[in-house]
Amino acid sequence: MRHRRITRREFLSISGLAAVGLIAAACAPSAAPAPTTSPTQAAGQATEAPTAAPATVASTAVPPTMASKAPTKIVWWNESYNDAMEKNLTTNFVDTFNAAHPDTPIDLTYQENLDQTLRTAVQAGAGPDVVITPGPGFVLEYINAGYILDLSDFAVQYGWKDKLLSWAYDSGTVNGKLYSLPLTFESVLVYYNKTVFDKQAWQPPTTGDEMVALCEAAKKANIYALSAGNSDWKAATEWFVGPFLDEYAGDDNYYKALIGEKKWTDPEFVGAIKMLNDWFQKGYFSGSIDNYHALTGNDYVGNLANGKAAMMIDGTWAFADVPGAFEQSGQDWDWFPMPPLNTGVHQSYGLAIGTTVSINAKSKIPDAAAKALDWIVNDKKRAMTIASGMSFGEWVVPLHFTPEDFPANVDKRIARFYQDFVAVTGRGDYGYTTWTFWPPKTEEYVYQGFDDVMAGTTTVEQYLAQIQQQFDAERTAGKTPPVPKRNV
Amino acid sequence: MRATFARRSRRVNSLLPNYIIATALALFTLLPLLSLVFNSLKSSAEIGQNPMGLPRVVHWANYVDAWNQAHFSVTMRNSFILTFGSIIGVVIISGLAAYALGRLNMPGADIITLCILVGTSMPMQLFMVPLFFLWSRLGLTDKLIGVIIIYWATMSPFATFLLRSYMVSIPKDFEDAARVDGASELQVLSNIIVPISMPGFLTVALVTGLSAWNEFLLAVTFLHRDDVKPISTALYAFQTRYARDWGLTSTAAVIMALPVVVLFLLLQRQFIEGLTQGGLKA
Amino acid sequence: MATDLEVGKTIMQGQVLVQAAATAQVRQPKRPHVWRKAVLPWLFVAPLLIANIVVVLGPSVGSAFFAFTDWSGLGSFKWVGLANFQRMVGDRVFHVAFANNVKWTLLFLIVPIGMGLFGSAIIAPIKRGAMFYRVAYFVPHVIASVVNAEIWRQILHPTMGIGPWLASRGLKFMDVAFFGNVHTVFYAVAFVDNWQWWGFLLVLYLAAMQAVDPELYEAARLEGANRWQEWRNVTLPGILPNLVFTILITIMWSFKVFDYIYLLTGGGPAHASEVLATQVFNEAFYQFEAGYAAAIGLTMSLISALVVVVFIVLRRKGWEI
Repeated sequence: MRHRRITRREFLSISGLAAVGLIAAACAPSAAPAPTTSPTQAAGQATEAPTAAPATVASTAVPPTMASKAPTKIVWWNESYNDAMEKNLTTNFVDTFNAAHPDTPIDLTYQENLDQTLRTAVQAGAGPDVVITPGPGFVLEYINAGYILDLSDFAVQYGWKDKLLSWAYDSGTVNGKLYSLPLTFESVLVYYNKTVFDKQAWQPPTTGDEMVALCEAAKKANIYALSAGNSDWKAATEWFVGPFLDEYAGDDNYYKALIGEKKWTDPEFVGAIKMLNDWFQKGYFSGSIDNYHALTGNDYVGNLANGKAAMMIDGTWAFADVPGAFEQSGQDWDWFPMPPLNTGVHQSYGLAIGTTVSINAKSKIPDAAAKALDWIVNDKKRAMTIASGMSFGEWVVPLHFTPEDFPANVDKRIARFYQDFVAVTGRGDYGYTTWTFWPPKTEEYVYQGFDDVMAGTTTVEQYLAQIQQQFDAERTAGKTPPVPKRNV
Repeated sequence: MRATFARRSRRVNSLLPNYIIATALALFTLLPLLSLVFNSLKSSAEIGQNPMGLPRVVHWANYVDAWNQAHFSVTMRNSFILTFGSIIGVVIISGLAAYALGRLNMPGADIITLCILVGTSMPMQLFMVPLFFLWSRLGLTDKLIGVIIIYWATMSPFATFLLRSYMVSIPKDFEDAARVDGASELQVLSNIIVPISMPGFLTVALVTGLSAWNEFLLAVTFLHRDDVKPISTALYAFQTRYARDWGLTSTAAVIMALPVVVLFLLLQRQFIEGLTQGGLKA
Repeated sequence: MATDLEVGKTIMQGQVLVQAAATAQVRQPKRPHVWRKAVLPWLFVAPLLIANIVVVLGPSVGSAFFAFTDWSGLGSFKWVGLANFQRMVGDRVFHVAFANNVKWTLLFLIVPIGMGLFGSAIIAPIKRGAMFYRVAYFVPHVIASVVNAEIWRQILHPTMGIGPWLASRGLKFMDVAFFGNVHTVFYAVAFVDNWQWWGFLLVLYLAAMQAVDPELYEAARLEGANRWQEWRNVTLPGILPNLVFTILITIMWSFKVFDYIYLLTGGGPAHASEVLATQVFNEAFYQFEAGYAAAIGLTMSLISALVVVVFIVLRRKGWEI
């Protein structure tokens, strides 16, 4: 009885005090900006800026008479990474820009749920100056809704067309106007465990038949032929569909289907999907279809690194994870390009844009924002520093990199890939990944529907027919991302 | 007296099956969490090879690393503010409403019940955009108080009906006696109903605190600056696009869970003393 | 004897509280009866109503409107009337998701509620170690779902988890990829959610048991009731409002369930674990079909409304819930 009364009174008085204190704290104006974006600190690190501002101007201590010229912040919402990658970006990109442009510094914050947060804010008429989306298919929705600024004039002013790889630049254009710059480009390749290969005296395959033979040999040796899993990222299946369509049907046919001159139900595509399904049914992917559905990114990269799997079809973003995983396991890795799976097909690399960057149509400072965008592409050395700080998993800007641009401390295998990529795609051997060049609903069906093919409840022909239907509908509605013109 | 003594000793013996079952259930709930604690002390490489066992090398530094890399000093403070602000508001709002709906026989109680409960069943993604629109016009985005008000609204319905279910079965005698003596409704509520349904209030405080502490979606949509981010963002601080450092993420999860367990222990002490004063022992 | 004292204490408590209330500032409002009946309750409910209308109901009505449009989630839209609902009725994925939600509801009405009732009955008489058990059962509920999901993903791992381990010791049927196999995935996800949820119900029921008059237990014991009969005739009626509350919440939230499915399987494989909320999420954010998503969301709300109406009707019929 006694303790009850005390409890209630105590509770009320404590909560009363706490309420006052907390509400005061909650309403308090924002704290000082985080030190890492302070121009004074950046001034000490600014080495790249061609127009290096004198240290005094870069100081945040604004004399009272200049109080009216407070810096206009460029609000930039970025994807969130881990601590090391975020520090790399802040130091090498934000701080260098802010040192060179103290009147219009970038205010870059990391948002954990960027897509949704951005969409909510933009739709409500708010949102940052710089808009980042996961790819051309996504930004197209924003463009169609009128939320993205036309960058064509800035493109001319800053000469962006010449700085970027042409297909990458084109992927940001809609009806001839530029709306987004590619922040990172990607492709798909085959990683393999060199230690396992050496032990088994295997060679990287150069044809589809050789690859199948390798897969069979791996099965016999009780090793997963291809390490894969889509438990935590259902869309992982599309990473395989693209290369199979490319390397079985050929890039030209793929292109024709994308522009409507061919049908996805044509025999070469049916053959490609049948082969992919066949490989799944035979258990080449992580031993069984059930396993494939239950394994995560950590799992299948780990399996490759530990020698439980021989090969792994994955994207260039895995460059961020593979070297570390192999360091831990003490085994060795390398890569080879996806070989042609049919006669008469060239080996090629699929093109992909992993992230796009644009300017909010409602931004009050588009000129400053454009300067920030230019900072991404105007210096190869800075771009390379940022990219290698991300372990080439993000911010790999599609510039015209040459072998000399890769410093000695970059993993030779990674450098070799990018050089090969530029060479091969430069001569016209490039394909199309589903997440960059396909309209969003069709893209979703590509991996969702394939589950049904694997389960046997849909035939390959039905699957492709459904894809064709969806694809036509979206193309008519103008939802297809731009496909760079190809000479066929 | 001897009869009572015999009854007492018989009861004490027969609690053994209780203990056995209770312990079995405790193992069911705790063993999986053991792997969380073990993982919090492993390097991410070891987790790939040894996901459930004891760490071979104990990385105490994980706790320091996780604390720094996930900016816990800032996010924990923010979440404390969010949590306590929510608890206070929700307890008051739901206490008043539960009393009105549960004991005052108000006309229209049913309509209110329907509207409020149905509101809780709308998936959040669908009302976020209009809400953000309103909040940014009111200048409530990027402010902790803005999110606290949202929590008041989203958590009070559940709290109200939970409280109501505790208040409904209180006998009317005490209330009526007080009213006859001239007490106002507010006094009846605070001096009679609240003490008797204190277990309900404590449960509401606990549940609200827990929801506010772990809540992620609303918080990251309305809070964008680093200095106002909540603690739930810590779980996303250790990943690249398709891979996650589970060692550090587990560490962050343990750090996140500790304050709530402490809160639970504090509130539970009230529960247990109350329960054993009840008639359930011999 | 001890129990008489307890009862006496309770009565005295009540009397003291009443006197305290009365001797506090006593006002005599004009026409107290009208004030008490008509106006005061609305004042008490006002904060709840205002907060809800501003934050939830108002915006929800706004987005419910979109259920009748072809809105993509960004930009402009056209009115399409009932087209989204017609599409929903014929949508195979919607059928699978709806069926899964119904299955989920039935599972969750039985398992966690049963475990919560059973557990609270077991724990209530325990004094020594009571704190340990309560904390133990509640802790899963405290941990964020993203972490719980990962813990169980490891435990139920297809090659490194408990399944293969048991299989290698003779239980061959356990060698299953729980989250990968289309037949087991739904139950595996439900199992994980239940593991996190039942402890919360237990704490709720324990708190409710505290309010049960100890005199009733004494009376039952004097009549020779065993423990089961005590529970059936004293505890259960005493906590009935709380139990019915949890039943109501379980049904409503079973149609809203999202977290563990999204985290563990995303609704797959092949929609085997798809539920309405994951479909809404998918439609709104990856398919750019916010109008259709709103239609499904509206349907979910209508189902909840139906459940609440049943609850209200039962209450009007005199059930004291």
